[in-house]
Amino acid sequence: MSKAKVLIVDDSSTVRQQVSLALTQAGFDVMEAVDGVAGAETIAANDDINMVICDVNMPRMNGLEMLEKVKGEAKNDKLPILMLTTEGQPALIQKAKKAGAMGWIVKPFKAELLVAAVKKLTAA
Amino acid sequence: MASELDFQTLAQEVLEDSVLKLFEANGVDLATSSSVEQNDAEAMAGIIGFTGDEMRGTLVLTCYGSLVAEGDGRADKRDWIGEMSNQLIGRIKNKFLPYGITIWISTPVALRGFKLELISDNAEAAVKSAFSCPGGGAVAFFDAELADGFELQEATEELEEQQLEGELVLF
Repeated sequence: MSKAKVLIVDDSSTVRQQVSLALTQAGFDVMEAVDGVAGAETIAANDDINMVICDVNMPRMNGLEMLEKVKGEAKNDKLPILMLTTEGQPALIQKAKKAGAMGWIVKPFKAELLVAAVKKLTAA
Repeated sequence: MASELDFQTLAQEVLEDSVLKLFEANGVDLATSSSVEQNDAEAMAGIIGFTGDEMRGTLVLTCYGSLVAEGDGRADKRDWIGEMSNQLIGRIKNKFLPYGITIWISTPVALRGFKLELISDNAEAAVKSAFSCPGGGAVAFFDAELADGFELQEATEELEEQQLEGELVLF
């Protein structure tokens, strides 16, 4: 059985490295993208991505814009997207929920909590 | 209703608490310090601008000595200090929300150097806090320009949907 593949979209290489380490140690395959534009392009070019973890504040295209763009395409309807950000503002969380995000984590993340969420969302 | 707390006092408390908890979450115990002596230690600074209806300004987080050296194992020191300043302004932003203050933040930039000292002539809303740890330390500098007529409101307890650092919610 192939490993679930998770795309990490964050402009910080430090965060991408931390998330990647947590997920690979838990048995997931990972891909990385540096902003919303690269994230949307990576999703469009790879049909085998099982889940996306996405920052909010990024250059070029932020995470909420990427979420709306990706979820605007019917083929991504069931693709789970989890937001991982420093933002905790209720209005933004509601906006993400309405746009189709499956969850929200405020940085810094706890590795065990993130892995548990990824396991749950990729198993659904 | 106006608060008895003035903004500068609030900003000082929020800044100090946010820095201590940020580093604690990253496995570093800092202690507040009355003064900072950077000597010839390498320093890294992360800088983030912010804007909002109530204020605009800059947050600078400077780390030096062992704190910077401990970043050696990370992929990129500039990225690391940028992300630390990003997470610091995120904490500050979240602590301001109950007071009805909303700020929007830019993406961080980083500087590297020696003896990175900051000053401000903004006595109304600029605060600085210094911290130490064995072999190094940090200085956080929050410099805000308040909007005309700004008045600090009482904190509300109605933000039940607000998420705090480290929390996860699945929809």
